[in-house]
Amino acid sequence: MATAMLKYAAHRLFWMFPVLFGIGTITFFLMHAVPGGPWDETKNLPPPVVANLNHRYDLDDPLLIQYGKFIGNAARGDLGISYTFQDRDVSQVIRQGLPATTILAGLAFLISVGAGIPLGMIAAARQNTAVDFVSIALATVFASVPGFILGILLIMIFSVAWDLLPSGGWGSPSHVVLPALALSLLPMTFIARVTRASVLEVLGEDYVRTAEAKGMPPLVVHYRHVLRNALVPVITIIGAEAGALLTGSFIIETVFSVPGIGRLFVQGIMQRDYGLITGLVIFYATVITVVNLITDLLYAAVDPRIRYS
Amino acid sequence: MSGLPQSDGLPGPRETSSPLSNLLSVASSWLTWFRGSKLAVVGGILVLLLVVAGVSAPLVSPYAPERQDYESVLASPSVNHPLGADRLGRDTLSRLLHGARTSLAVGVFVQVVVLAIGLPVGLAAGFGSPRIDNLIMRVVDMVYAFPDLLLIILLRSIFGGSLFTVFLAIGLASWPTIARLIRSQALSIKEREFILAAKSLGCHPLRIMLAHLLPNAMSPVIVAVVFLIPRAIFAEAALSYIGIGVSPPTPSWGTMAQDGYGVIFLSYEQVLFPVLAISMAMLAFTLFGEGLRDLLDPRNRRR
Amino acid sequence: MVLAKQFVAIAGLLALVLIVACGGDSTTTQSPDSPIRLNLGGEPNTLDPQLASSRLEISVLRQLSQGLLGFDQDLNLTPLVASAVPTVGNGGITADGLIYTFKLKDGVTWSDGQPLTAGDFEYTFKRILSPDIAGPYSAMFTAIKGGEDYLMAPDAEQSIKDSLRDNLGINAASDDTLVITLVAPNPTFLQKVALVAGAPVRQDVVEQFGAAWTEAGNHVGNGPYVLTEWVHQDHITLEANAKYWGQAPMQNTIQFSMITDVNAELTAYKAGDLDIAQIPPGTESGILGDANLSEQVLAASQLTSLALFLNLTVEPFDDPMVRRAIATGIDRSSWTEKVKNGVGESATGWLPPGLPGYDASVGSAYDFNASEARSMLAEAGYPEGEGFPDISLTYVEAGDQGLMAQFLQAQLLENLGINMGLTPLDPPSYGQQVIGGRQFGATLLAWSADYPDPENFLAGLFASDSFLDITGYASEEFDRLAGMAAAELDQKIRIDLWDQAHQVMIADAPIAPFMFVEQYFLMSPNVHGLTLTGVDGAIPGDTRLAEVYLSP
Repeated sequence: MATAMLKYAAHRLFWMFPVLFGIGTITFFLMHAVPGGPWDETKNLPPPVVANLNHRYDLDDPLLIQYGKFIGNAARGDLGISYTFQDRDVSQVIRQGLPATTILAGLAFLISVGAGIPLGMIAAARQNTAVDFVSIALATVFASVPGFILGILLIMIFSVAWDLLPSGGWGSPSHVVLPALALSLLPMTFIARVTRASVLEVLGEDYVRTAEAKGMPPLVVHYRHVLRNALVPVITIIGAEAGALLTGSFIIETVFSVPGIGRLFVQGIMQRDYGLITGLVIFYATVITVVNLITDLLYAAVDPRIRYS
Repeated sequence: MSGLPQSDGLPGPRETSSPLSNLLSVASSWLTWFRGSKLAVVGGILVLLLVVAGVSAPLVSPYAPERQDYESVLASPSVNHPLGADRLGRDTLSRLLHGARTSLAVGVFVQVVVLAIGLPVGLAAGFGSPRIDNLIMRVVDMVYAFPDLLLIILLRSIFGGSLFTVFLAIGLASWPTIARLIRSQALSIKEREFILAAKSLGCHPLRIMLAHLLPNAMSPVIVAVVFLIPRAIFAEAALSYIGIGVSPPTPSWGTMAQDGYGVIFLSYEQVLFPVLAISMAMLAFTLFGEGLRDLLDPRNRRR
Repeated sequence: MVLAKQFVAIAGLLALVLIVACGGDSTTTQSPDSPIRLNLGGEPNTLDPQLASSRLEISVLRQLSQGLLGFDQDLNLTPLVASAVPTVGNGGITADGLIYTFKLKDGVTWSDGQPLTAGDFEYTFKRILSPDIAGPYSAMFTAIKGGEDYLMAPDAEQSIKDSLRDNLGINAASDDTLVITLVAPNPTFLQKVALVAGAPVRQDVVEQFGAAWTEAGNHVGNGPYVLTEWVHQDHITLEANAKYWGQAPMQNTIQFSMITDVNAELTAYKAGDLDIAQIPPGTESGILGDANLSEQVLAASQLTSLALFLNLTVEPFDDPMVRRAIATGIDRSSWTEKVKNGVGESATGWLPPGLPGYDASVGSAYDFNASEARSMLAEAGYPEGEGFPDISLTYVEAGDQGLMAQFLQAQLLENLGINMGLTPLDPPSYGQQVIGGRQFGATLLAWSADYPDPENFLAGLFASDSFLDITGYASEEFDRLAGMAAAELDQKIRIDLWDQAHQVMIADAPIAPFMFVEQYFLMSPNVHGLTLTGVDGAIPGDTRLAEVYLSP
């Protein structure tokens, strides 16, 4: 069993390379097809300057030659230089943004999973009671209030009115609390709602009812049958949200001035920073492939009926 | 044993009845079935209310949504402007009513695109051979990491920024989660006894999928789809800033919230009302989805 | 709300009185060790003076480096590292306007203690023109002898580039004398020298660290502050330069944060984390109505003009009568007074107040008059907007521009019966389609001064041979006046020529002038000694931040 798992994981890791190659290629050509280049702004540069910039960044080469250079460099782990941050290369820019995003995502992940699953379980166990309706109300509020408004409300309460936490920025543990909270509320309620739905579904299954009828203690039934089997869709959603958290949140990072990679990505696209875009997409694809692999392995771990060959 | 009304449970066409009474009896049996879930009824009424608000907006709005009145800039709620007015003195109530059209359309049609892609892809991966599963899911991995915003800007330059582009763009960016969810449900269900039994009875795999899997596995999917609704409404607003979707001054709830954010410290009503409208839509679809799940679940009817 | 504006003016006057009153008062104590906490609004793309262009980069660089010349409060040139502003009178400029001689002050040093010489400036000005650097301001210096040939030679072999570089008219005649030779008279040359692009960089530092020379620890400058910390995307810390050759800065530390969200900037100010913060545009009336905060308001006008640019190469804007009808058919005061609450000023001309050559009477023919506008439109063949071709207003959603576009759309419909569509675009698409490709009907464009001269507002945008001639405007008369002004060495005559060119352009109405931009800030009551100028970057008063001090 364990060796089969390992073989499966190795097989999947090997598949990461075609995925990275594919997404890199698509992104490269998409980027060059989109109207507007890295030097097109609302106040354009004089033609000789543009010519010099194109020369400096090899943009005056034919597209296929540029592509060849990009693939060659990427294969060696060189993601190229940032067009926006002219003094740094892309891997450096990503490395500088990564710690903040990782810490923020980690804490938000812990909050959303740690609070979301129990909340969902309780709501399912007390179906159609006040607890259940509270879970619906929370989900409605946190899904419908946009992140920027939620963020500003938290700052107004915790920084301006109560003066408990910094209003933004980065560098100390206290800086992480508000953005992590703001970032976790939506995934938390999402996970809670999916947990509730899955648990209710499994509770309705015949074997659970049989077990209950046989007089097995409810706790045992719940652990052995309900929770484990209900976890598969929950793991899927957790995986999706983990991927989303790790790739950074543009809005939360902007409102709380967090130096993460979510802002970089939107900025890169809005300024057509070819180097930064391809670099970040390749990074994202790596993260997502790994997260999805972990998700798939967890399926098999919680639900023995799922097997991989 | 699908969750839909069974033909044998319905009053069938009888030779003696008139077409009208026939129709009425069919309708009443459907209604009885539908009333089985109180949630579905409440949710359904709420959804209907929102749709009616959007459809009747031109009739019931006190003003034209783009009418500017510079004497009412950022007016507080009053008799003239029940929900106040925005930075150009436009009536918030009228804009909310008209905005329902865009926002509900986006909220719903994006999910249509999401399900149209996510369902077949998820089912094919979940029920297909491991090789097919692997190929499909690696494509899904790529879509997850895909720079959607770039694609959307490209789509705009090719097809123009119509609302259809918005449905397509947000839908194309959002289906992978649903596909993975459906796949995971399929993976876990396909080895269960009743599926194996159906297979051994010689049922066509596709029939098994549709008849058994969907009703048995839709709960989490419905929840996830409902959560995508406000996300789509906000995505529409973000895209409208770069010229994709309805062009200003046509209102949508998302753009109203987004524009209102800039003056939140002067007039919180600018974000409060559109956010309330979005909450109401979210709640309506949550309840409706819950009810729908109850109705689709064959076990509920056995209870 | 005129009232609000008057209120600010009175508040400003009061503040001035207080400052004057406190001038000799020793009770205003200073706490030199508290940092001045300011918000840049984002991460600088670079801190290399020859590569920098954005307003936030300029605000940081002004503290780190000082060029030969700068601007004073009245936008006159003032010597920084140069001992005097070169003139024909003091022998700094030859009578033909071709050779400029800069004498350096004695005792100017870099932040590492090395003396700053004319050789450093020779390196710097040659670097500006280097095709390999491709600096955004490089094209402004092509008046220098050999400059154009060097700048346009990105593909040339290194040896050719080297010889082009050696033949540039930039020479350090001695350690304290820099001589620059032009190919043709360029009356605004000294203003360009005063740009941040003209701030000196040191060859050995650049060559040792490459692109990373601008990082904290590597950076060497000659300004009142030194770069001690640059945590990317987060903050920049500057400390007083112990080796500074001028008046030592009042505060020991400046801390720049990088908050991009305007509401977050305001909450940071309210939470006491910033000393100066921008007021979110559109919410000024709330702040002015607050008894406490209204006393902290700082109004900064920015030498920024905003207008509706029309594409003269498409119907119906090829007809001057249509353009004049549009310029006359916009009720600007509804925008500035009602929507903007008096922040900013209605404009019928293009040169902003405070700029040499500004004339409030220019374009007064376009004062709002709906019936006159309608009759002009009817005369052009579109009575009540009937038969008016489909046109769209293209813009970038930034600041208030989306709202402004919707306002203008409503104005044209109500006053002229013209149905105008709206097309917001992302900045690169906009740059390619509108600025580069002239694919638009009308567009909203804001223009800020690079250097405070009418030339900067008129020559590039309206001369028929300019790459930035967005509207396709081509007027022989304008070109003739602009050509004369470009070579006129007498400042008074030159400004007068630009004034005439301005009037010619406005009469032809390739643009419908709309407003002069103003920005409101909040400034903590313990900040003193701030001096605003029209060339400030993202931080108000950034040209003389070293004089700012904090009371406890």
